Amino acid sequence: MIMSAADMPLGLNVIEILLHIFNFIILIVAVRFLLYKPIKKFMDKRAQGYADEEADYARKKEEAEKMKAEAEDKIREAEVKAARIEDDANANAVKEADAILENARKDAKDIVARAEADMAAKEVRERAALSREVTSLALTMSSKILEREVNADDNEAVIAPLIEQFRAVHAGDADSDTTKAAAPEKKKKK
Amino acid sequence: MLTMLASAFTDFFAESYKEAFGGGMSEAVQEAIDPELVDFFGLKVNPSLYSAFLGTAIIVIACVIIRIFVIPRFKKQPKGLQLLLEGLVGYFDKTASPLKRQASFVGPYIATAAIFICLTTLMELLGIRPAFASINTCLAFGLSTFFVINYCGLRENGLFGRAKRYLGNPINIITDLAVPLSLSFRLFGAIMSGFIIVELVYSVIYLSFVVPAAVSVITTIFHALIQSFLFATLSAIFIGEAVE
Repeated sequence: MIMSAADMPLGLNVIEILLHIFNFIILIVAVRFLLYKPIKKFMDKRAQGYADEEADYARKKEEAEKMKAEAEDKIREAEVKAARIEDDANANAVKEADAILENARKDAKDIVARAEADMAAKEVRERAALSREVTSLALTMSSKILEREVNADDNEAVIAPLIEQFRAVHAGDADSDTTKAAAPEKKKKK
Repeated sequence: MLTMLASAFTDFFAESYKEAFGGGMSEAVQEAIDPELVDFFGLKVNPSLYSAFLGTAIIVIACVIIRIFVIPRFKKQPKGLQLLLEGLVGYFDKTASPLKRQASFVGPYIATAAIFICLTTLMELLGIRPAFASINTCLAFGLSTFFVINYCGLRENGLFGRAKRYLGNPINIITDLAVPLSLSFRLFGAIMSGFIIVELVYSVIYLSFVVPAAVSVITTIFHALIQSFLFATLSAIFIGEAVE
């Protein structure tokens, strides 16, 4: 049925066409599996590698930004905390200073009270000594006036009531105001 | 009547040419169009078949060498041959990329066709008869593309989708049947004409020194590149149309 090449126009030959197709198929298979696919695979792998790297970079950047934000938050919190601690410390210091001041005031008051008590006791002692002096002075003066020896009985009879009177007056003054004790003393000395 | 006139004109032209240059123009053209058939296992075939086999052998050997020695040494930053190969694969892959899942088959198909057309046409520069100077080779390629178009169309749209295209608009039957013929004859015409022109130039003794250098560039190198690009692009377009 197949005509020879010479019979067909332009040398058309079905078997030759089939041989060419067969040749072409072999060529396609060879090029596809030896050249095209390995190169395509290599290129795809490289592209995938770059895509992965890019995704990895984006993820890492995001993480870093998140961490940065967290760190900034922490810093802000720490700053707030530090300010609070400082305020607390200041308040405590003020309180402590007040307490110390209070104590000091109390101590000073105590010291003043003690000093006053000491002074009062000293005054009592001094007053007793003074009364004794006054008694002896009065005795001396009266013996001089009388030009004679005043004995113990005279003394008892004349001076003792005077001294008693003096003591009574002075004791009443001392009881009413201890602070003014020094003033009457001076008056009495005169 | 018209044929007779045409043949009379050709004979006259040939005679005048012979007288003017002393070459055998008609013989050269005759030899180019209708070469002496060669034996292939007892079958008389066009010598273009051997050119095609030679082209296939060269490409397959090159593929094997590249696969064994070049591809394993590919680097992340392409250079030299790797750049060329990646450029080729990238170009055909991009051309085939709109074909969705057919792309993994169509990419290598158009790449192979383009490389084969380019190489077997460029072999003409070495005095070897181009593989596409035979209508059989061109028809084989046109029919292959026709088969691929229909295979991809059926695979993508199914029998019903394919039938709807023809039933909805019967002119599509003619359009689709014209595709292999148009592809084949375009290829055959372009390459055969280039081949004939070069043969003509060489057939005249004093035109065969400097002129072929210019003529070969236009008729062989340009045709090789343009026809391989055209065949690949048109195949991709027609397959894309069928897949849509």
